[in-house]
Amino acid sequence: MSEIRKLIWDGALNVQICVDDTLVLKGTSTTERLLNVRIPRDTYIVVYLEGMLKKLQRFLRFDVSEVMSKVWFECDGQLLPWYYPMGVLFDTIKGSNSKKGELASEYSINVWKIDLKYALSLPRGHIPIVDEVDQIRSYWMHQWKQACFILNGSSKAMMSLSIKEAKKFWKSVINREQDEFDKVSAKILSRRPQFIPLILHRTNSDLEKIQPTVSLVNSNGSIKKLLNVLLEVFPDDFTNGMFSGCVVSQGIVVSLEDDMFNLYTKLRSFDGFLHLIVKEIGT
Amino acid sequence: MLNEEEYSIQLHRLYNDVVKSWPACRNANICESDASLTLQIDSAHAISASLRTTRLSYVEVKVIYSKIYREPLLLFRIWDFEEDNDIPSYTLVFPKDIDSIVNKSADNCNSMTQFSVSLDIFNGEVWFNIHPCDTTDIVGDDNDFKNDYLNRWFSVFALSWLN
Repeated sequence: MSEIRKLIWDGALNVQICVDDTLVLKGTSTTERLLNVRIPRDTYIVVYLEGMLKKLQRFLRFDVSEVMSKVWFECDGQLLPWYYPMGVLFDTIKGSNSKKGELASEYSINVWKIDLKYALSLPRGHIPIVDEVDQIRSYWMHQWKQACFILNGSSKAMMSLSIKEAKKFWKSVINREQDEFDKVSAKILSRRPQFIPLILHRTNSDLEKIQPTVSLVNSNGSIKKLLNVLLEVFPDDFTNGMFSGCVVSQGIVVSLEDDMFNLYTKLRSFDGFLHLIVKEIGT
Repeated sequence: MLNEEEYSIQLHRLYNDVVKSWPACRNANICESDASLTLQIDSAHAISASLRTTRLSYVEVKVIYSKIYREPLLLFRIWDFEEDNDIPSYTLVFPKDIDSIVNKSADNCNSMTQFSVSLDIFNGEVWFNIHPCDTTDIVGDDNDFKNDYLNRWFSVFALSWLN
């Protein structure tokens, strides 16, 4: 198990950021607007926003602090909501219409091209960054409070963290310190949770998000499997008892026979949630 | 905690008993399909002062039900009025220090009750929300006062800082 958790923690994506031409000085070449970065799957892309802008500062028309609240990320014209983990964005946006057999080759793409857009009016679905990294940390802490509430029936375990522990927890995400992260998260996670913090992502144009209530067992006492959850949430996606899509988490196609608690334990994200991307196969 | 059915019943009571007679409330309506209450509130002096503006237009407030926390949830956003070349328009403002503005207005600074305010997305739109994790402790869910839960919640989470 620890090996799987380590692979997930270390997972990263090669990304090429192309900065909006309205953001740079006249005469800046296309090459100068590009930035190649490697971003962990288990973090928010926006954590790296200030650093990206600072790297490009000499080509920018404005100060970094002026533009932080007026920029967002897009891929092929589609907004990338920064408040989902980077790996979730990749798994959701890339190959939404792929066929099952094509997933392997699709995942061998080694550079993901993303646009950094700039405008005074922001697109629907984007949370503006108005308080730099403090806002990102606060958003992430709220996600954990919610996950803690779903797991334990109260947010007390999360609220009981000392200021020092809470700071260490966030720092472990920024500095990619898995041991520190595991130490603090162990205080929040439960061996026998009431429910599982789960977010299902659809790969439609609205990037629909569904947060069902998922217990560990079915009403007949049997262990709850992914198949049971899909049957409850997406009954119309089954034909003759067969699910017409596939489910991806942390870049891996998961088995519908996997039990939900096992999936949570192995594949949960750095925000305390298990993110499952429900993909349509072929259209 | 409040179950969803009881919340829907109490939402109408809140509208009739409190919201209708609230002088600062310009407009209010209940949406039955998602059991939400939306209000337009004349911006409170304390908030305008904190934001150092005199033209702050209004605060839009939404009361919804959180199925996760099984509690009411308060969303709000602040609209600023602008006139550019005689064309009036409203724009959203996102003050950096919203947390302290709300807690200061609610006079929570020296209290154990501190609201935690953050930006989030609801139905594709950006709203501030006051995090509901301690709601039961703050409001109290003694059975004798259960029928009044939503009114008491509203008085703590909305009236305390919007009045």
